[in-house]
Amino acid sequence: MAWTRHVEFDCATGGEVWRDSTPEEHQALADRQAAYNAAVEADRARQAQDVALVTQEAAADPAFAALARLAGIRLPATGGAP
Amino acid sequence: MASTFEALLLAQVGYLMSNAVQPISKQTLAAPAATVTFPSIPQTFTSLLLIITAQSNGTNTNGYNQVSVAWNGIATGYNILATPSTMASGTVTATSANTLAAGQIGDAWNAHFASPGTGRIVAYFPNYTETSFRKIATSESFASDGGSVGRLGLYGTSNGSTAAISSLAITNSDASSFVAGSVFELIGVS
Repeated sequence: MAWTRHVEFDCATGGEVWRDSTPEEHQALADRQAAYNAAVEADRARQAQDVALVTQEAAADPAFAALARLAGIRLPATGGAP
Repeated sequence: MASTFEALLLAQVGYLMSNAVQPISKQTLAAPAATVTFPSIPQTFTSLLLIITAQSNGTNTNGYNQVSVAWNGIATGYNILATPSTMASGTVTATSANTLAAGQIGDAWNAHFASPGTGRIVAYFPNYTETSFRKIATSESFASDGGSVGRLGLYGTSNGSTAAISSLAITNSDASSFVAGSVFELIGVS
């Protein structure tokens, strides 16, 4: 489907206007979703990197691991438990 | 998660009980629509509430579609913080993202599982007419098949524009549509 319907409900007049999108508008909506997915994936990757850094630091330093646990960060069993 | 959600709901109920509320527009879709827009929003209230009960005709295998909002026709620069929880596992995943074309406010159950589910969203737009600060919306959302499968979430979105909000456009993801019978209600809070 290369188009979708769109509706406007005017708050001032109570009027209702329906219109069909152009193929370009429809493609823009699809592109918007791709951009959203990419942004979410980038954030997940950043979070995974943060977790890896904290885990690495905790493995090397029991005091850091203790602080991380106090902050509510879940560390793997190998994370240098105090 | 549940306590945070309940605290937010109670805060909103308390807020509503101590302030005057007035319906601005309540619309039930007569046909599927990919975008529902409320233009010409009156500038006479302090805050806005947007209440959505909707199902999507999308078919992605998640079982739900993201519902986003854009205001004043602005199609860039939205920041989001999304903390959805999956009902089956109880797992909460927090996500933040910037420079989006619209800000996510929740989810709508879609057509993948062919179940009669829906999505309910309550979004709050505080101080929408002032012109000194960026605009924000906070929301609670619950999309479910009506049984044990679903997605509960808290969402926040903002945009750097300081203009008063005079229109809201609610969009479904994947370029899919809200099905006929979906309800969109805009309420003014004094």
